[in-house]
Amino acid sequence: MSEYKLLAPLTARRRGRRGVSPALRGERSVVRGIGVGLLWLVVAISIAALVWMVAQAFRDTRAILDDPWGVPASLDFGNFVRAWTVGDFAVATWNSLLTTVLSSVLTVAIAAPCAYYLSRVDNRLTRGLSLYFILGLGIPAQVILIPLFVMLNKVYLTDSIIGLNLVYIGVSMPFTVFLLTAFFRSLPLEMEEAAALDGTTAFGTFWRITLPLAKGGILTAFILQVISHWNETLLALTLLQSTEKYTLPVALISFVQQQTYSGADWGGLFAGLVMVVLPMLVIYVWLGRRLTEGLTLGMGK
Amino acid sequence: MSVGLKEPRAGKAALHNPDSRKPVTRKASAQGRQPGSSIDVQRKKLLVPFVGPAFVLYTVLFIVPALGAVWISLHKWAGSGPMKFVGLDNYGRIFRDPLFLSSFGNTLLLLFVVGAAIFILAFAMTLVLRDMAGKKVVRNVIFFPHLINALVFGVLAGFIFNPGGMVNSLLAPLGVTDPPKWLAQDNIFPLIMVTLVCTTTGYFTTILMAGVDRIPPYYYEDCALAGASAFQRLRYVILPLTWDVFGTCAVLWTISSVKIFEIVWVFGGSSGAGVPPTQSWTAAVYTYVNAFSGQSTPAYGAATASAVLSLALISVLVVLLRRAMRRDAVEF
Amino acid sequence: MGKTARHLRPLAALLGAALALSTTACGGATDASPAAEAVDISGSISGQTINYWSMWKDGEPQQKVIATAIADFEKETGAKVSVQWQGRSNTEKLVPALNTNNVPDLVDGTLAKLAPVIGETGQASPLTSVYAYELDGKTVSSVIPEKFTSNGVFKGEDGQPWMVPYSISSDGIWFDAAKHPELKAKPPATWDEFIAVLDKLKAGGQAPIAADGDIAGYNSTWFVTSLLRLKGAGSFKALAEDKSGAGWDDPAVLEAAQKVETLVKGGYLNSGYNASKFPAQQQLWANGDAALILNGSWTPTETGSYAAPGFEYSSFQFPAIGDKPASARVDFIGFAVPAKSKNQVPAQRLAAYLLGAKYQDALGTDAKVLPVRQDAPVDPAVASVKAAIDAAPATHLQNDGVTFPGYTEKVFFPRDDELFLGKTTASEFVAMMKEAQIQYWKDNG
Repeated sequence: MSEYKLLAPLTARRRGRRGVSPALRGERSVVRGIGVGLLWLVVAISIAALVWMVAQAFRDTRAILDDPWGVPASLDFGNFVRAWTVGDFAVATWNSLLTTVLSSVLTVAIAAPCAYYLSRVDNRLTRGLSLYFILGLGIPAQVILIPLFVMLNKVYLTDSIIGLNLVYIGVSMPFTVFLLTAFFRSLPLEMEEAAALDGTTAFGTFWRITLPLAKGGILTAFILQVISHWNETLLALTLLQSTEKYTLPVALISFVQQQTYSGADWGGLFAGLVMVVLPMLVIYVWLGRRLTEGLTLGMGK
Repeated sequence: MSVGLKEPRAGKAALHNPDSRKPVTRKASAQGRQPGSSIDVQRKKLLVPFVGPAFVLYTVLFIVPALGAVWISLHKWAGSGPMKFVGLDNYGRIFRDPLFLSSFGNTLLLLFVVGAAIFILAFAMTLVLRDMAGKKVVRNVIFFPHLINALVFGVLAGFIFNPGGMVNSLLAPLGVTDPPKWLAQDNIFPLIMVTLVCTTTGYFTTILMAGVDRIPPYYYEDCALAGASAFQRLRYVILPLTWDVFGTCAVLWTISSVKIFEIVWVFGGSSGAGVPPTQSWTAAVYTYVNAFSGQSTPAYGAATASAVLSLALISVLVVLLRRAMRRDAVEF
Repeated sequence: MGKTARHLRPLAALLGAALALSTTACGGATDASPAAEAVDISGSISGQTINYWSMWKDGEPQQKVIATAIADFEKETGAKVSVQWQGRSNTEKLVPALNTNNVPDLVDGTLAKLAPVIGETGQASPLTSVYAYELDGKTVSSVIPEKFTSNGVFKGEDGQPWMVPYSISSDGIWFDAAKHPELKAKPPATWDEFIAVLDKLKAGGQAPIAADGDIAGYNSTWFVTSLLRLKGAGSFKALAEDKSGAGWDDPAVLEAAQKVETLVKGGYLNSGYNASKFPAQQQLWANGDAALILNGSWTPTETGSYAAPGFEYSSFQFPAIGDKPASARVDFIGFAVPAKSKNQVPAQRLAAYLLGAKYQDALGTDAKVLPVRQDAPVDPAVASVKAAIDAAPATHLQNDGVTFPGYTEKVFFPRDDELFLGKTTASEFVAMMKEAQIQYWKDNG
């Protein structure tokens, strides 16, 4: 039964676009038509905005200010080169990539067993622990900034990518554990029970039965962490001090500030924005389906 | 090593409820003085290796600094140098500070007004998208703004909403000669609210869509047979069956709305270099300004006190929210 | 219960370990700063290292000058300098670092930003030796104009200076001399002449004044400078310090507010100034859509990349109101050395080094900013500003140096913005400020 519930949406979708009950097909109304129209308008504007932003990255400051609607005269990559070199975006991109992937992988690797345990064992302790983790969801980064810095400095982990990674993992625990606990709860128990009857250890059950089933949810959690760590600004700004360790958001902020003081370079700025947004776009286009599917399965129950 | 129970225990098999979602530990121990099935015993042994690392990292890197922050909130401190103990003075002062109250009010506005807008729009979009051609494309596009760094919006906001900016240049040919002052100090917060709605709606729509997708079609057929209108269908079928999902989303939104900071910060002030106008401050901005504004001596005690206070107030809200949204899970 | 307790034990052990680790970390945060004393910096520093966090980003004109200076310094003294070109957020990074022993040896920034972070908290070393150091036969203190240091802005609680400036910034009312040669030839000297100029510009069809109304710091300059013209340098600070708020009843204060009100009500400000995002208005001015802008001496550099072709930068000072001699606004950019730094001597030597004539000249001609040395040449665009500074009998800081915690952002700026953006009248502004100030000192006294 539970497998059916899990698979029901998928089968429905496989029925094709018209996967809706015959009772509802053919239901047309003005309101609905307007709704559909508006949605397509929103889509069109969003895509246009993205295209516009990318286009501006190919023009220079004066052209952008004089005529924001204009199209670039040529595919001049000068802005990108400048942002890449002057804005230290090359190093920053590499740092961001390294930090994001590493911390996201570790976050999920550490949170998954914890979430599994909390979802399967139900006693006062686990309920208390779940609440303990959820508590962290409400604490903003500003609160913990200074004490965190002092602590990390004692162990020489400030101004270090390793330190930043550890911090990211620590602050991502609440959300990831929360998400994965909900997700693991939605997985059927029967297979695990069956495996237990066959004599598998609890750990073996987790490793060989549950994890493969949970691939979708884990991938979702991973992608969500990638997104949030890629865009994280405040902690990186405070905990990193050397320019060669900057991550992308920090490099972007100093780039923007620099523009303000030493002559605006809107073209370079747009190029910088494109460089920040583009990886997200790529990841999203490539893995987006998994992301939305996994997100929904996890939130489902 | 397991407790050598290779043959199935008769008692255990009988306990299986195929539709049960809760683990059966409790029932097992109710059966006589059995200590629970072997897998449960083994599972419990996994407490430390499974939960341990997450627990330690979270506690050391998150909870301990937070406790440190609470300790700081009992002092008057400029970020470095001597600390002066003032007890609950900071809290009293913040409670009396009209700016904190207005900032917290703004946070509540974000929570309720923007939240309501998001969820109404999300439900509406879900319904429209349910059997629309190309719904995957639409869903992906509306989800995307959620992934973009807030700084991008801040920079673009000026471009788009300046008096000579793009919105006004679009409105000019339509005959609008005196467009509203989009970026006037009083209007910035509404603009931020609209931006938040635009970026977050896609995220929640995606989640709700799946919740709605799981509703088996025969319910709709029953509705059609019973002659229910679309609104009645929404009220009696869709809402109850997606209540769980909605509840989770509501809690998530509540918690994240307290932390909204970057978008407010970059919208006002020169894209992060200046301080935004006080009409647009939220609780998180208030905390940040007290500590890091750069315009005057920092007051870390007051900053952490305000953060602790907003956290406490929001926790109360979350508890009330969960209580209000609690309903028996509808099995289907 | 027994089982739960058994499982609690390892968790408790972990928790205990975690707490122990972190308390040792926290415990060390409050060790006392070393007693800071002036050190003798004249000896050899060959082989020593300096860790310098700079406020400039790689590629900025000032950065190039400092980089040259550092290269020469390394060659001359044999010391090694490791620089982080961090940009303006270097002071933000400094704050958490000051709680630890991991501090840079040398940091620069504006006085406004360094004072709350390192100057007033007693975290900076006294730089008496730097001021006494001789470069090319002249001591540093002799090349820095007396009026900059005489009012003690750099003096810490121990009476010793903790910052040495190498560059200054000021403000002025800027215009395009190519379009308005009459303003260059005969700039308005009094407030009435100024209004007459504005009226003429308005009649000519050009928006007289551009202002980025979302930058509270720029907005406040109008009121603060008016007040300082009426009552002299230091009067705004005295006004803000008054716990009884009685200073706000002074008719001169109301007059200053009324001057601002005249500008707003007179329609002299470019339309849309109160609903735009920085730097839109500045860009409009640079393009010729508005005639004047009250802005800093950094304006030529900042707007250079989008100014209209043929733009000739020139400025005049904020007009006099009444007969008090006009003080010039001078904000400082300079070096400070954290007290916890282990490399005091080489760091202080580097700080002194930048006061050398060669680099001050380079700051003036190459970076086009105002060097602190009076004898250094400056770019023609800012020549008028420099002349005004040289002639002024006294100087004042932005917001007259008011840095009480939270006062500027929470008490002053919001109400001043309401005045400048046309939402309140002058008398309402004065009344609100008095009330808010009394409340502020009650809460923060």
